[in-house]
Order: sequence, then C-alpha cells, then structure tokens
Amino acid sequence: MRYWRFFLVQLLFLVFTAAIVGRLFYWQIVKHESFAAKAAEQHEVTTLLEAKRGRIFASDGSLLVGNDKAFLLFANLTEFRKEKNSKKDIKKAADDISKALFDEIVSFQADPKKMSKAEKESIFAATRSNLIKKLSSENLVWVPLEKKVSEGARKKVESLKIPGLGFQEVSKRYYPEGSLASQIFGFVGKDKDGLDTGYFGLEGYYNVQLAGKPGQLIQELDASGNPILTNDEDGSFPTDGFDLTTTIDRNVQFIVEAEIQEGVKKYGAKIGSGVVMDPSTGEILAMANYPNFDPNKWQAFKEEDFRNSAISDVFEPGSTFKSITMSSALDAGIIRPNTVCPCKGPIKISGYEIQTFNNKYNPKSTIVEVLQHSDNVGAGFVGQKMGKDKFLEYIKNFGFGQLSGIDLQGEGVGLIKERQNWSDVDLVTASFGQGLSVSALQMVAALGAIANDGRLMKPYIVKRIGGEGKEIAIEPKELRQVIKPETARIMKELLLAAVEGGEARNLIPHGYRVAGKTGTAQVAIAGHYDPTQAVASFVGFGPVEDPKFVAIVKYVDPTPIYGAETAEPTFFEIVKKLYPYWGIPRR
Amino acid sequence: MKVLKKNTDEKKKRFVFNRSHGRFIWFLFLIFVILVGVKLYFTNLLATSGVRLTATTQKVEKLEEEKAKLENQISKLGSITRLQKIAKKTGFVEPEKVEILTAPEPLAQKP
Repeated sequence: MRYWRFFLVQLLFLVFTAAIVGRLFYWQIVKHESFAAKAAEQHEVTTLLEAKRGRIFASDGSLLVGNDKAFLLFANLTEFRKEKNSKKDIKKAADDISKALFDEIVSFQADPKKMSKAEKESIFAATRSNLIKKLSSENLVWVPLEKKVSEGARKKVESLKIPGLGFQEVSKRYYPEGSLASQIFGFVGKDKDGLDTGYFGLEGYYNVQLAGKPGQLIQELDASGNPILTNDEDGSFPTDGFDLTTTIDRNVQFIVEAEIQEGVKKYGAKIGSGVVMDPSTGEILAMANYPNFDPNKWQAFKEEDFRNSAISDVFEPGSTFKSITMSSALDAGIIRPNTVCPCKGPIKISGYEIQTFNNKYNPKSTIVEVLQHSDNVGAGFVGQKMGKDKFLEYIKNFGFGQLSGIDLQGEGVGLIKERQNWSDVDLVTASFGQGLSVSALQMVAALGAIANDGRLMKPYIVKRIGGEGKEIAIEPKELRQVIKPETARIMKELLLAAVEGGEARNLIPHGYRVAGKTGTAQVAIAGHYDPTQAVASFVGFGPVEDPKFVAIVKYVDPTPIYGAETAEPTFFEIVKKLYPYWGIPRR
Repeated sequence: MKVLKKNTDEKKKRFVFNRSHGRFIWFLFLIFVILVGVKLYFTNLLATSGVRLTATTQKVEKLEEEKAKLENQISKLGSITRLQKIAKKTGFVEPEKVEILTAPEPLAQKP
C-alpha cells in the first residue's frame, strides 16, 4: 500500500515535470522566433537613417542640383482627439492648416501667377477636404498630412498650436536653376514603397549612385518607451550618395535654352531642341529642349514635358544627312570634290521619281554645288555610285542605328533598315536622309567625327563621380576612326562652302567660319509622308580651322518649314553668343 | 632496477616572513593604489571626453547643416536665370557687337 502511494506521487511529479518541460520546449524552441520578435517590438526601436542624395554640379563646379531641408507634417490622432473630437473642431483645424499651407501648395503649380481665383479656390477646397478625411480617420493613430513642407510653412502651422501635429525632418531635392537643363536632370519622385527615386535624365540613369544606401539604428527602450543609452546600439551607418560633376557649361546651356525657347515661339514649332558638344572629347556642353519643365514642381507638368527630345525622339534627318553621304563617298575614293553630277532632271528608279526640293535642276554640278543647292538628285547620284554595301557600312560606322551610349535615360536608337531590306530606291532616298531615322544626338556625334579629323567620340555628360577622396574620373572615349583625316579636312571645307554659298548665307555673322548643313524632312506617319508636318534642322561646327563645338538645332513643325529659314538662323544666333563667350576672334 | 628515493632526511625549508617580504607586499600595494588611481583618472577623463566629443559632434553637424544651407543660398542667388532677370531689370542690354582682339605672334616670319 505504501509503495503504491509512493509510486503515485513519483508519477505525478514526473507528469508535472514533463508538462513543464514540454511547455518550456514549446515556448523556447517552437515559438522562439515569434516571441523574440514580439519582445523586440516592445523593447527595441528601429530608426531609418536617411542617406544624403548626391548633388549634381556644372563643369565649373557650380551647384545645379542639391538637397534642401523639408518636413513631413503628420498628426498623432490620439493626441489630436483629446482636444479636437467634434466634426466642427476637425473642420476648423483642417481649415487653419489649409490656410497655412496654401501659399506653398499654390507655388508648386506650373505657373502660379497665371492662376485664376477659381483655380486657387479649387486647390484650397481639395486640400481642406483631404485634411478633413485624414484627421477623421478612426482606425489610425498616426497619419501623414503633407509631405516636403518648407521651413516657412512649418512655422506657420506650428503657430496654430493644434495638438497632435508634428514634423519629421526629411530631405528635399532642390534645383536652383529651375527649368534650366531640366530634361538633362530628370527629377526625384517616389517609388512603389514610397522611397525617393530618380526618374528620367541623370536622376534616373545614376539613381543607384546618387541615392546611396540608408542605414538603421536599433535602440533598446525602457519600460516607459524611452531609449536606453548604452553602447549596445545596433544597426548600420548610412552611405551617402555620390556627387556628379557634369560636362555642362551652364552659360552655354543658358544661351542655347534661351535661343531655342525664343525660336519655338517665333516659328510656332511644336518642339525645339539644341545640343552643343565638344567634338574632340564628346563632352556635352549643353542640351536643351522646349517645352521643358521645372523639376522643383514636376507634379504640375505633363509626362511628355519630361521627355528629352534631343536624345529620345528620332526623325528622318533630311538634307543634313548629305554631309554623311558625301563624307562616305569621298573617304571610299568614289568621288572627289570636283566630281561632276549630270543632275539634268529627276532620278527615275523602280517606278519612283526623285526630285529636288524645288523641282529646279542644276546640270553639271560639282559636289560643292550639290551641297550648296541641297540637291537630292546630286546626293542620289553619289549614293548610287557608292552602292548599298559601302554606304550602309559607313552609316553604321558613323554611329547610326545604334545607341550612342550617352549616360542619360531614354535614348532613342533610330532605324536603319537591314541590308536585305534595302531596295534601289532606298539607297537613293537614304543619300538625302529619308527612309532612315536618327536622333539629334546621333547627328551631332556623327558631324563631330568630321570636325574631329574623322574620329568618332562617345558623347557623355558626367565627367566625375564622387568627391573628397573617392572619385572616379570619366575619360573621353574614342569609338573609332570613321573617315580618314584627309577626308575630314576636305569635308570641313565643303561644309564651309555649303554654308557660305547656301540659301541662308546672309545670316552668317561676318568673320565666323562655320561649316554645316541644313535639313528639312517630311514626317512619316503610318508609312506615308504627312505634307503638313516637317522637321527642320541645322547641324554644324566651328571654327572650321580648329572646331571647338559641334551643334544641332532642330524644330518640329515650324513655320516656315525650311531649316534654312528656321533652324539655321537660331543656330547662328547661338554662334554669335558662343564666339565672344569663348573668346574666339573673327577671321 | 634502481629506485631513486628522495632523501627523507632532508629538512624541509621553513618559510620565515622577514622584512624584505613586508617591503615587497608594500610595493605591490603601492602599485595597486597607483593603478587604481590611474584607472580612475582615465575613466574620468574618458567620461568627460565623451561629453566633449558629443558636443563637438553636434557642433560639426550644426556647422555642416549651416554650410549646406549657405551653399543652397549661394546657388540660389548665383542662379544664372535670376542674374539675367536682375540684369534686365537694372537696364543692362546685350552688346550688339563684340570684338575679340588678338595680338600678333612676336616671332619673325622669315629668317
């Protein structure tokens, strides 16, 4: 009997011990991770340490894109409801906050000065209603009310002394030059996780380098929720983004941008673009488009305004391409400057008739005269003499039909048909720049090769990444020798003669030796040319003896449609300002 | 096989605490006191340095913030768009003609 009792007690102890061990096993092994996470939630706080986004500088070191201090306005609804819990209170608070933020919200519109009273009232009403909705959220404790609030607006809101409102310091992208070079920079918006991300231009292309890496600070909290200051703080330091130094000369950029803007207004063009490049290095000195946008308030603009037309939009180059045709044929030894074209009348080929732009013909024209008259028949004659294989080889060597490799987001490739798809008529039309498409940048780079003794340089816009110890310098890169230096020398003189003997010779400022070629191309839509649309352009370089720049001006749908009457005058207006700026004397 | 045995007759040496031992203990005690003093001094120094370091770090952060603010202000005031507007307002006009003068090379053209 005694033994039985003793055994029962032993068994009970065993079962009890096994139950405790089992429970401990469950808590400490099976549920370890979830309990550890819950405990960490209670006694740890993780703070995200924002990395500073890298800045962007002009070639002279002046700041083009920087960072400014801003604030996130938020409401702690628990605190807010302690004093403001009626609908009337909420409406009053929303009204006051809207008034405090109103000036700043209006300043973010595309053109605040032109806004009507009704538009301003509508913005105020939308802001107020949005705030009422947020402040009335029942299931939330914390709500963000307004992002990127300035120091001034913060002070206004603070003076209202509304309980529960707070500010968190954040960084805001800042573009001191406003819309200047906006399509080169792009802008910083939010990604799907609400984090700052660069879009378009340099902000998009160099987003990883500019953004850096955020860090985090893990701190232990005491029972009251205050951080315990010990040496056991965990986490990682943020790595700030790299600065970028560009090749952009902000004075040249300003000159080009002002002239393009004026030209678009004067000629009623849909879009205007201009690019200025140093032919010996490939450095982009300026790249402008109009219409453009202000990256400080990018939300107020349409998506098409973000597009960098100079690199993204491809077009049929028209007569500017004759410079490529002649360079190729001269380099291949197929023609000489004094080669004579019969040029008696239109070329009849495969059922098509190729005419000159004015249906006037210049028999026995030399190559110089073909360029001066921008003679399609003469260019077709040269193209036919060269043949498809040779011509296509040169076109590709000049960089057409492939990305130039510029460090900007959204470059267009253009279209050069494959060899097997080239018909006889394609060869002739390509000779005067139709039936193929190029970007303004490709055209500048190709003409840059002629200016640079036949060497094609890779265009680039960032010359240094980083700073203060960690710096990567980006060197000019020669892609290939496209034509012989001797051919380039002859072409310089031919293109100089084309300008000085061309239609717009009266526009050329006295003593400025600039080589170039105009172009007027119809726009192909759904496989046919639209007679109402045209792209007018002028591409050239100067001074001919030692080219310091190669540039293009392009207008979409200008009036008049001809390059000689629109793009060329703008080009020379730019030249007139660049020569004194660089101290280039007249000859 | 020979077994070496310890000489059991050898008298064990008896430890006698003499004057030199006392001096040695005093010496050790003195070293201990010095080390404690040095530790206290450096701990105190480090503790106050920590405060100074924090203050300096905060000052550096504040100056960096101020520097960034001034840089932004410089870029805003030096903005080419702004300068152009001011120049126009104050009556500056673009020159109609700019001449660049070049000096002839100071070299003999012929021997």
